[in-house]
Amino acid sequence: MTLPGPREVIVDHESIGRLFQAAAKGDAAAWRSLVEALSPLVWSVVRAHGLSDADGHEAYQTTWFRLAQHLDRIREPERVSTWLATTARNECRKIIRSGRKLVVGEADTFDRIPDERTPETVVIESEEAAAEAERHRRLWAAFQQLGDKCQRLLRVLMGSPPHSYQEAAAALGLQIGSIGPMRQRCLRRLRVLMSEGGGP
Amino acid sequence: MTEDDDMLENDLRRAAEFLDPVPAALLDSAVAAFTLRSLDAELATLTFDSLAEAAAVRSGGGVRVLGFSSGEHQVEVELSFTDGSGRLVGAVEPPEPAEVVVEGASWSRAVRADALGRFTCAGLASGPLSLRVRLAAGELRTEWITA
Repeated sequence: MTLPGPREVIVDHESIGRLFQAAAKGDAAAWRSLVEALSPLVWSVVRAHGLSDADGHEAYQTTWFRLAQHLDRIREPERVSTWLATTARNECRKIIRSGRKLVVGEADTFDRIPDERTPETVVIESEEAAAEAERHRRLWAAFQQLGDKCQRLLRVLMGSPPHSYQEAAAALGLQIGSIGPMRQRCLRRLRVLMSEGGGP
Repeated sequence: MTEDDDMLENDLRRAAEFLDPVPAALLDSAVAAFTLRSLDAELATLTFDSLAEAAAVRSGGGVRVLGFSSGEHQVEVELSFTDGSGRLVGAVEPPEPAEVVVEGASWSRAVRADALGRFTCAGLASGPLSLRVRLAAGELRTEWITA
């Protein structure tokens, strides 16, 4: 069974590989589609590393700028999502190692980019899916009560296409074989938290 | 339970898209990176970074040491930050006078490398950073790093 992605964005490895090859040949529209399809993955890797907003933005940008530089150097186009996950992880770890994260909680003192929801999202939320939005918030609240390891794994999976354990393993520096069982454990724990919080 | 797991994960995916989406300005900057590529420049890849996992030796005083190579030419860079302001000291190998453009995500600064290939640039902001080096033989472009 194939579940529809959030925006029906095509994200299977084969399509991604084709987009990448077209972009490498100079197709700007293909590059845009690639950025749109894989940005949630890069963003979720950044989020999973718990960087402040400012640091997270920088890691995200460096990752994509690098991919643009490497367009004609990546030999396995269908593995570009794994390349992005690995690159984003490395950038995040370097930022953390640099020690320029001053103190935990410093994030709030950085310039925050305000609510960036698209007009469409706002309309959908207000008119059509107030109940769904509420469900999202409850789910999110339960998610935030999970332990660090589960939060990190699930945050990466949220930004990835379904069943992309390879990307998650690359993003977190874990063995691919450990992702499935860990995911199952974390989702089970999430269900418990949801039911405790009077969830759906 | 696998299908239930898939559904719950998909709910999380949708929730993330509503509650923690990729900031639109960031997405735009990634899209723009395509047109901002220097197609004529040769890529100098990052060959050493004192912040890399493998680099067990940490340089003292918060100085980050980076090395880039395009095969024929090397660019060495020392980067340090004091009170949020970055200072870069670099050298081109083999040495030659060159024009160096230090680029961030939305700014750039031109400096000169002297006859020994040395250059400096101060007052840098943190964030993505790349150098364009115009040598007699052609132009080099270093891989992006996060300064």
